[in-house]
Amino acid sequence: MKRQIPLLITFLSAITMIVFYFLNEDLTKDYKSGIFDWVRIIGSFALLIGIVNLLRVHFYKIRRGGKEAVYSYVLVLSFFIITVSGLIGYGKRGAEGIVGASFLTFDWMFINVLRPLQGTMFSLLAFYVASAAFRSFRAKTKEATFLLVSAFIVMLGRVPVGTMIWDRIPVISNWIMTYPTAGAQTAIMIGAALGAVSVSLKIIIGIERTYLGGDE
Amino acid sequence: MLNYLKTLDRRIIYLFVLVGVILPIVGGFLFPVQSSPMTDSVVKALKELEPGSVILVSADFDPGSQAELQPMLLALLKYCFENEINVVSMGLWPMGPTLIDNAMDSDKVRISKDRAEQLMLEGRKVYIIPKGEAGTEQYLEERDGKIVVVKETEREEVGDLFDDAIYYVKGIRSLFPEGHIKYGENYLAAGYQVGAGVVILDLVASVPGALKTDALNSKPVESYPIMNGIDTLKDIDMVFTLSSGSGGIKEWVIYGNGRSGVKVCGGVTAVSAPEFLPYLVSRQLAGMLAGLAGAAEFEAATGYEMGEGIRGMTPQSFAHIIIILFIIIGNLVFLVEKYSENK
Amino acid sequence: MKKFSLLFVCFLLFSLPAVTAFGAGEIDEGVSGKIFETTRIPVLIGILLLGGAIVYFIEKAKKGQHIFIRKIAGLNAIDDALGRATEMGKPVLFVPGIMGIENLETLASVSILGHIAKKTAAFETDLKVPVRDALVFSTAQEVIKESYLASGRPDAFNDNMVEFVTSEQFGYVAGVNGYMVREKPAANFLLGCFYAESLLLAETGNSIGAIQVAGTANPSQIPFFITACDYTLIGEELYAAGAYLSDDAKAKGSLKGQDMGKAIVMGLIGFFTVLVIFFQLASMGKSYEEFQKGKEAKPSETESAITKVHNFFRNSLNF
Repeated sequence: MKRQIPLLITFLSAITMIVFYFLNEDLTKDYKSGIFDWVRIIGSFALLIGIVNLLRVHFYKIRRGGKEAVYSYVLVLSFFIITVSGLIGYGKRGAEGIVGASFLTFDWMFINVLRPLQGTMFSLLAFYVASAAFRSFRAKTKEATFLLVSAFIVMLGRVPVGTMIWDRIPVISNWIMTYPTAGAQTAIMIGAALGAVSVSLKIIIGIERTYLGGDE
Repeated sequence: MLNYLKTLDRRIIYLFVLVGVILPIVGGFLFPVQSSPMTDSVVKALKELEPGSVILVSADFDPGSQAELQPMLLALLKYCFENEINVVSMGLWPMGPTLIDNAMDSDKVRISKDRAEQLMLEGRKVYIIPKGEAGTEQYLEERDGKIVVVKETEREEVGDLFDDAIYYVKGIRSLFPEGHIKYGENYLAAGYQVGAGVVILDLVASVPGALKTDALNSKPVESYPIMNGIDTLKDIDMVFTLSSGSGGIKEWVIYGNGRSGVKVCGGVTAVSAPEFLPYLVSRQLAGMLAGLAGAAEFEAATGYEMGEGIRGMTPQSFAHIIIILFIIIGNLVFLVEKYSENK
Repeated sequence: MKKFSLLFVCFLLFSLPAVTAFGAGEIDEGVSGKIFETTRIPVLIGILLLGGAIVYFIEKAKKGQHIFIRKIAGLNAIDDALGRATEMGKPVLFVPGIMGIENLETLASVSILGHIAKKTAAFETDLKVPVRDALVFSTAQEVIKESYLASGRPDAFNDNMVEFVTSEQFGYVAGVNGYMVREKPAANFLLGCFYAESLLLAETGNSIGAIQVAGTANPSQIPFFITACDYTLIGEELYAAGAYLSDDAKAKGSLKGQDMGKAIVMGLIGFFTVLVIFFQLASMGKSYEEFQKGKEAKPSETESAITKVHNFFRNSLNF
């Protein structure tokens, strides 16, 4: 019974949405709107589960102690500072926009702490791309050579230097992106989409039960 | 030497990339930026919008992707308000709407000296970073026909604006006269919407039903004049999504354009741009800006010459050249080694 | 479950005549048009074909027919990777992607996790699974617990194997990279849905000398995994992994059905490509004729048929 009920809910929900898809939009608009509201409410509660889980894990690490406990302290402290400031200080907005972003308000922390930190993490990609490209772009085979030449053309074509070297580079770069690249991407997308349809069908009819946690 | 190059420490590569990116920023030189067909399609789609059209701007990204997407957002908002296109903003990612708020009111928007003077006379707050100075925020004031630089409590009178200083305002709103952007009339913030694809399906059925209330006053969105005549997503003239991952451009194309036929344009990070090329080729996407290069091209095409995108193209060019040089070095080492082995 | 499958197939089979029979039916005055969206018939045909193929091959596999699956190098390397980790006395790191349990790639990844967990239980190798989503956390814990139980080693399981790092994308990457640099796992499995963090994870794993098996259906991240990882599962190879590793007849049957679906799609693409080329050549010919004779030529019988088919599918695919 523990497994049968979720499987039945999955099956009925899926069939309902499939049937709605083939019915006139006007007939199903209100029902769909109701269902979507429920999905959004459940999605919001899933955020809450994540928060509770995060705090539970880190409170455990603080209780246990050890050299990594200090990071848990930082996390828990930051969590409460941002939450409280968001509840109290978020309201400093008017019809003319953000009125004030003083120290430790939500806006101040967002602009001066969160944005630089997240931007920094993303910027690591630039360095990692350089080292990955140096290590792996070798003209070992004909295909690899083609890849190498295309990579050079596209890299130059996407920046002003390409036009300065030869004004045809951006044109060739655009052709490479529009035809071979788009074609290959489409093929992978179609394959992945068919795989997704198959997995979805297996979930609907109950063959795939990983989401319930383990096999029967 | 060969062995050293073969086992080159990756930190040497990082150092070269770092220097390559910093040099042009410090040197201050700019490469001219030309548009590309992808960006032209976006500009063409925007130019087809008449004054009074409504565009739904969806910020589906977080601060991690701000380097590439925030310049697009700034240029887009500037273009829309200059051309009297009404903007309804929302986000499918939690931090997206806050980034739009920042674009409207906090982000530094660089302007030329002439524009700085013009805005100052209009009563807008214009900030200045004189050459060789940094640190404390300084802004300009006009007192009895004289220009004054205000720095905390100090006030320094200057004869005329400096040619070599950096001038900026905070937020796109400051580029326009007071009252040009009226909340509820030509701008509305709907805030973060939970549910990604489900939100879009909801919008297809009913925009007021999906958005419900606005983020500022928590009033029903249909009570604002900007939403007059907007019932379903079909009534929106264009959706412009700035997207960096799941719950973004793909869902807008599949559900938004697929179900309602609404015109969808997008701005994406360079890393994910090839993934959406098939949609562009099949015209499910009306146009796409790809990465910082796309942002720069869009800024150039819409007359935003001081934008972050354009200024970012020179460091990016240097970085690309450095990467190409290292690839060439790696291949030379490989070929020399192969030749030695064959010998 | 057999009843559900039969129910579903019956529903699909009877819905097509129902749609066509009632397609033009009128309803209340206040509501416009028909009951069924007849423009979506091609979608229904597609579902029937693909779903039918999958169900058919599942039934065939259950009856004992051997289903051949080609070798997938990445999946064959799992045992080698685990063996290496065991010999070196280092842990195994499994990253199930950054999306939630509702994402199909994550589901596929978690099913592979079950197999890997069985092996780590048998080899007594440490397993670490950092996750970004709360529901994935619960599911992964359950899957590992059951795998260890199935391997006869429930004592070896501990709750700390699965760790919820953070729901913030780059915070998660920083956490996982930190773990990699500190603990230096010998084998990394990066399987699931990844975005910009894919190269950050793969490069860090490469820098510590771990053997890496990666897999994602996200086309834009595949190149990064190919450059930085030893083995990469591309696109639907990730979805096939569950069937490949489990030797389950139903899973293999569904894989075969999926391949049939792909063959049908390829056939349709080829057919319509030829059709479009033919149609365009015919249109071109008509224009040239017009120009030459100075009068509008009548469309031929063949051209009208082609035009009708072309317009039907063009209109109906705008669903």
